[in-house]
Amino acid sequence: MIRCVLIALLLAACVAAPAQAGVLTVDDATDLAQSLADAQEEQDVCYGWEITNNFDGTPDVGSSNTGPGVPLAEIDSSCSKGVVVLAGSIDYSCSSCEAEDSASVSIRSSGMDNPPTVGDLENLGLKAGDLTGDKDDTTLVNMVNALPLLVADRGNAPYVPYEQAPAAEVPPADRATGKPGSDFVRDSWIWMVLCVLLIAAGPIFYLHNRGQHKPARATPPRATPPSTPAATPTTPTPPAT
Amino acid sequence: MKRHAILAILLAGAGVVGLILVFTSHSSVRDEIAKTYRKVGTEKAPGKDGPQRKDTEIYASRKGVTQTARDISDKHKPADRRTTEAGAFLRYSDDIVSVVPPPQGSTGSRILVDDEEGGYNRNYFFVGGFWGTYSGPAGSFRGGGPGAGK
Repeated sequence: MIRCVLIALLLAACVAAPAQAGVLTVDDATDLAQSLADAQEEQDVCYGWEITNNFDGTPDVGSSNTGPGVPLAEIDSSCSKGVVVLAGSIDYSCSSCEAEDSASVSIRSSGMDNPPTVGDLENLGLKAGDLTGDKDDTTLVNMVNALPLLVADRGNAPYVPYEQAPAAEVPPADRATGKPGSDFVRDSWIWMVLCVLLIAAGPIFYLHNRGQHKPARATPPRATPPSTPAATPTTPTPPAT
Repeated sequence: MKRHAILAILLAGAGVVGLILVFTSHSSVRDEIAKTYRKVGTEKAPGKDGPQRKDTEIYASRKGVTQTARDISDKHKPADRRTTEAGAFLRYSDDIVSVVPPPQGSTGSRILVDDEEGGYNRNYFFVGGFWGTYSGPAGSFRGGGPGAGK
């Protein structure tokens, strides 16, 4: 009876869960589309994203003027300074396959002289490979959100103005969590490991060489059997002539 | 034999010297920014008052937002980062560095160095939910529209 109730609850939870397609949740995609729409207002550049995957029939798509779930199709007067779309794919390999998960991205653009590139994203620490990691959603949001910044950095449009959150709009209970570890260790761990290895290498080198060059122990004289009169070799004497 | 002992001492000595250099040459991201960029102001950090709180330090960079954020993160790798349409935000153990567009009419970029609470509160709409709790308004797509909000 209890098992039936648990199964029913589990099924209900599955049915009640919001539909999710691709990497982003509906809420994430909505927030992303809205931030692009705000950027479009400032810059007159239209933005979008189209990321396909092999684990879900539905790709991650959305744009600044169509919202989440709909690709950027029609270009209207609000895109007078150009269009920029992050395109890409995520391929997860099967667990028994030898191939590794992979992802790639590209930036499609039109209507601007100096469009952003994938290299610009990498300069911001945003790498396509991270789309196959645990933080795939954050990586995708960061990549798409970075497009208006890169467009402005390259002189195609003005920057979207930065505005800090008004104190009254920050709930007092909200705060940063998950404090990061030491900056010193993050910056220097590789050097610390190398130095410790060097320190350890000294004694190891010494002991290793001492073992190889140990002087051979003096062997006791072999016991020799009592001497027997040996036949003295006789040298043939030349025949007298 | 003696030669091996000398080599062993040199190896271990190099390790000890290296370790001392690693410990003595490291500076915080706050110090590095103060050394590299031009300071243009200081202001009270957002959030509650407290003895541990630090003021926000504001610097100017001649380079754009992307390049400045890259320069800082190349020297001091952030624990986390968030990139948005209005700036790049780098999270460190005790500090949050915001690299944002310059004031209108200027070029380059602006760097705001906050303690954790100040940076989180200042950039709540950008980092809220990513680096901490967020109970602000839920997202809904309102769209933009030509000329709106200008």
